[in-house]
Parts: sequence; structure tokens; C-alpha cells
Amino acid sequence: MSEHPSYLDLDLLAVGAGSEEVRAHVATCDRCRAHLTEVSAPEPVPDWVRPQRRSRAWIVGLAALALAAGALVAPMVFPQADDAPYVGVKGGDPVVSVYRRRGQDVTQLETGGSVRAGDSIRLAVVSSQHETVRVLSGETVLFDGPIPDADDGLLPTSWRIDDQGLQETLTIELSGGATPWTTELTFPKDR
Amino acid sequence: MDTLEVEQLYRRYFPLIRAKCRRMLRDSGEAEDVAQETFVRLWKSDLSHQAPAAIVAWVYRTSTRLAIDRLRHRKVVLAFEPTVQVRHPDGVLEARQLLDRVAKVASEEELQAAILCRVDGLDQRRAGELLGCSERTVRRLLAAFDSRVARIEEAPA
Repeated sequence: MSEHPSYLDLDLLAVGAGSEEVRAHVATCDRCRAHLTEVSAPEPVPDWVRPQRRSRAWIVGLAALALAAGALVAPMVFPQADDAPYVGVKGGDPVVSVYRRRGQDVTQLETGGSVRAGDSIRLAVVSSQHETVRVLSGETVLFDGPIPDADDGLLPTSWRIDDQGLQETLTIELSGGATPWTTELTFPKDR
Repeated sequence: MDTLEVEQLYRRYFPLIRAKCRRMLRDSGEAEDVAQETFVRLWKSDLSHQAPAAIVAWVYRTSTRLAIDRLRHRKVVLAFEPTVQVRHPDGVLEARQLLDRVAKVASEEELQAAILCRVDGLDQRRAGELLGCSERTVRRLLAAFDSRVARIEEAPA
């Protein structure tokens, strides 16, 4: 093999499905061996991978959200406990959920939940009554697009918290339905 | 899937998912997000008992699509904080910069072909197999992608 194999070939080798040709190349190539070492190195399993733990990846909590969405209408809907993760005014949707990633840990923010510089914030929006969502920080439009079709409702972007100011405020506007819907979410910023 | 199976799935596949996401996305936090999302979809997909080659192919398709979503919303993400660069060998950095520049105007199919061939280093036949199209189609998609890049480079700043 005169050229490097593709990353796909190397990754297949890493999971035991590679070819002898690729294996032979890796034996003589520092670059490819470095990649193989990177993707084969053992590492601790983070909390969000354990289903019974509270801390979860963005999307894991949203499986429950999809189930619960039909019974929620509150502009801010946050978990109270693991077995009753979503609360709000009964009657329907929309539902906006806010997830905070801090390092490897993902938490659904509760009322009054705080953020700090370096955190990432991601929103999930579920609404049967609206078609589009706009997210603003002050006058700045952070997202303007369709409400995701997927059950999880995760917007395809996240926002990194900077170190400016004492709080972060997001305005979420839903439209494309009979009645436009707006809510404002404010999170104090830890120092 | 019980906890032990999920942890095994994580240990076996997450490092390569994360490495692929870091190749595609220059913001390390963004890459971590897409890697997590890809893994959780894998976890929920019931694919874990399939052959490793099939799982890796699925991972490549899914993470590529999710990364394209991110690339198209990148302006918002980068507005918040400077990015952290991850080192990559050879032409990966250049290919990724091209992706950043044309992500909002190229079609999803063009971007998929460009990521698989230019970032992940697949040949056109393998990329076609992964995308479910012919080698000729991949060639056409790459030509369209290159034309967009050329037009952007020729345009006045």
C-alpha cells in the first residue's frame, strides 16, 4: 500500500474488522499507528453513558421529553427528579428544554440553574402548533429555522457561554402557527 | 441494552466517533457534542449486535450528517468564543477549511462526498458504497463541490 489507508480503513482495523493490507501498512507508518492508538486507547466511561444516572447526553433526556411533550405547555419546563423529569402546566405543548454541557456532563437546567464561562447551552423545542423557532440573545439572532422534525427536538447548534455579564438571557420565539409564542429564559452566571 | 452493554459500546466506538468529529469540526466542544449525539443515536438504534463493519459504516454516515448540520449553523457557534484547534495531519485541515467556506451553499450530498473523500480519505468507490450511490455520482458531487470552492475563491472579498 503506497498511500495511507483511509480513516475508515483504520477505524475498521481498530474494531477488529480491518484488512491484512491495512494492518501491514500500520506496522510501518507512524501517522496511521498514531491514529490507531488514539481510537484504541482505553478511557473511563463518563456518567452520561450510564442510563440510570442523572447526568446524560443531550439527546438521552429527550427520549423522555418526547413522551411527555403532549402534557406540557409551560414556557419553562424543567426536571424535578429522575423519575419525573418534566413538569409544567398541563394541557399540551410547546415545550422548550435547556441543556447545559460542562465538560463531559450534560444536565437539563432547572429553574434558577446557573451557567459559567465555558459551558455549552443547547435547546430542544417541541411544538405541534408551530413551524419555526428563533432564538435571540439580546438583539443578536442565534438561531432562526424550522423546529426539528425529530422527536428529540434538539436544535442543530449549541452556544458557548462567555465570561461577560452576570447572567445569560435567551429569548425563544415560535411562529408559523395560529398564535406566536415567546418566552424568555434567564440563567445567572457563576463566577 | 443494559449498562454493561452500553459501556462496552462506548469503549469500542466512542473514541473513533470523537476522532471523526474532530476531523470534521474545528471547534472541539462542537465536535464533542456531535460525537455524543452520534453515540446516543447508536445506543438507541439497536445496531449493537450487528457486525462491527456495519456499525462503523453507520457511524460514518450519521456523524457526517450531524456535522453538516453543525457546519451550516457554524457562524452562530463561533460568535461566542474562540475555537480550540485540534491538530491533524496532512490535508485534513485544508479540507475542513474548505468545508467551512462552502457549507451554507453546497448541497448536503456534495458535503457528504467532500467529507468522506477529502477529510476521511475514502476513495470514490468506498464513499459511494457508504452513501448508497455510484462512484460516478460521487465524482460528480466532488466536481460540483470544487466548482463552488473555485467560485468563492474567485469572488472579490
